[in-house]
Amino acid sequence: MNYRAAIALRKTVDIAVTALVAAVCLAPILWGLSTSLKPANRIMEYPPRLVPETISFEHYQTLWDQGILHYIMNSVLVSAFTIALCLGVGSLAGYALARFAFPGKSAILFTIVAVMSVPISSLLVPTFGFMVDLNLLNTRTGLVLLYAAYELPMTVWILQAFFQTIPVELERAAMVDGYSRMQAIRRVILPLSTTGLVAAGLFVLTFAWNDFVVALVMTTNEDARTLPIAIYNFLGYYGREWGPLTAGAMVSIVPLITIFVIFQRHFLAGATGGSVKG
Amino acid sequence: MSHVTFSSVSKRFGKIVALDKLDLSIREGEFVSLLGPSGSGKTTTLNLLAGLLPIGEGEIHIDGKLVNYVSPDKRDLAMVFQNYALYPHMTIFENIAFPLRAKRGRFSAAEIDAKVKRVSEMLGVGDLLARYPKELSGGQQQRVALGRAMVRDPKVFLLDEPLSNLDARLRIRMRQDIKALHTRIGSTIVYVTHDQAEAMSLSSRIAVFAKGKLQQFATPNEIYNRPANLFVAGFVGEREINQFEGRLHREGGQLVLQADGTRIEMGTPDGFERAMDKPLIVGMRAEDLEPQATAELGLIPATVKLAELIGPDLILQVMVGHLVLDCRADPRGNFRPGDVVHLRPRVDAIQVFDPQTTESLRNFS
Repeated sequence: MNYRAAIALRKTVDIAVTALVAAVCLAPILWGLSTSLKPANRIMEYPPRLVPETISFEHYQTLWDQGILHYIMNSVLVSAFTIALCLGVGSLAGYALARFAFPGKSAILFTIVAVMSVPISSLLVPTFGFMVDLNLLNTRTGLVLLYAAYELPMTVWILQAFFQTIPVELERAAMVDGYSRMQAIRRVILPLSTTGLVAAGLFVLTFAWNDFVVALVMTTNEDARTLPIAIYNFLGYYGREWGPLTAGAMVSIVPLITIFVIFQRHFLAGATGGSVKG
Repeated sequence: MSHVTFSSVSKRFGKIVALDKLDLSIREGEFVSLLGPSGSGKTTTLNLLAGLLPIGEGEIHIDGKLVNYVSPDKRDLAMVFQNYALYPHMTIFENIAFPLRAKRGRFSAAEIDAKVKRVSEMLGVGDLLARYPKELSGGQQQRVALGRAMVRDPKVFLLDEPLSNLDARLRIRMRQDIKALHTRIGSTIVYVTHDQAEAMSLSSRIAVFAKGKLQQFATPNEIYNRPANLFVAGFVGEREINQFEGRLHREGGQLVLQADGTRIEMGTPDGFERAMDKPLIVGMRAEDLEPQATAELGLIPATVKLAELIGPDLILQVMVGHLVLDCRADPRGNFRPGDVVHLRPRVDAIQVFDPQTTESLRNFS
């Protein structure tokens, strides 16, 4: 086999493997999309069709009628405030860990890594007790605080690693130029950290937006319920409501995918790292 | 323009003493170089002055005011970093304007515009203002870093090895530019370098550091011709000073230097009183040993081992007994390896050091 043929073959294999992986990952989503657009009486038809014969938005209408907006707003608010809290606290903590030498620093770093490995489900019962005592059950604030607590170790870790790649001379220059340390962080370090902030923010978003277990336990009525719980309830309350269920799933997936597409440039750059030079 | 005083300043990093009881007084308008090898404490000294490191012990005063606990942004200094530290997310204009936009500035947009334009024209980067740092060459970035420092009128300029990332020719040109700049604006400048040629050519006074200790603080002329100890004598100069063990004694009226079986008759120079009749380390610079082809009374016979023509100098490596010495010959001279030459020492330029303390034993009038 000559060189050119070898390259062509390798390319073909690459594409084939990638396509296979993509198909396996995307198939359930495509199937869900298809189901959500079928009229209710066609969902269980045999043989099944991937492309619906007639397209109907009735399930989306059902969602709307049942007040899906309330759950969407809950998810949006909880996710947004969790991200804000995580990035706010996480960037300050990450900065301190990246830049200052202080007693107990390595103990803190070790603890952060250790805490990341604690399974959340093992914390549910004690945290539920806390939430009741603090009157935070069934509140969005309670969810935000819990999510932030779960995701802060990861956020701090990502950001401190990122800050270390930024030359210390940049903030020193800013301080000599007449800016306080906080101003130097805000005007020099944070603008150069978009990649790290986006990467950490997406981590937090994925968790907060998709979380099911914590939200299920910490909400006993509709007040603070988030989208994943609402979708789940279509399984329980009215028998198997496949149409609204898949429509709800689509509604919850689309915003996340949109945000990832928008920020993918940053996310990839963050993963490869070293993109900032002094 | 301001004066700066270090009083008994020390700084430790863990167990390492980075700076040991530094006393240094920098006068208004002076260009002072902090010279030394890496790890000698020179950059620590600069960072302490800038306020970028918390001071360990001692006091630093700027214009008579204690600044130990004054944060860097309130010290009113300007600094140029070795890697320039230009803000990558800002244009050149914004980089130079950055110090003016700080709270203490209170400049109007028009004032900022005028100041940035003036400084950038002066440094020849006026047509680069819309670009970003990564689009500039090293030399241009260097000028922008200088511009950012000059755009204000700070009390003291701090320069941390600003030329060490440039290639050799550009370095010499920028060296001249910096010198011209100092003459023009007359500010107090503290300049950190490990390059003795830079320190010699730029400074009003040089502070030589080694192992966290100030070795000598004097004019370039004194540093070169009257080194306080063996370290200074060895560190300063294009090539290392010739060093060998010897002993001085008096024969009749005149001084005789005895080294490795070789006698050097020195006549009756002053300043060697403390060095008589004890073991010494002798230092002689290449240019203070002039080789000539013909023998004369009092000259030291030697054999040429190597001849290197370096620009304006012809450097000969010669053997005197077992000693290997460098000496500088007339570049038009015709010396070849194996030739016998006769060295004429400049007696008053001979340095003598105590082998134990390495301190100079010479007295200079």
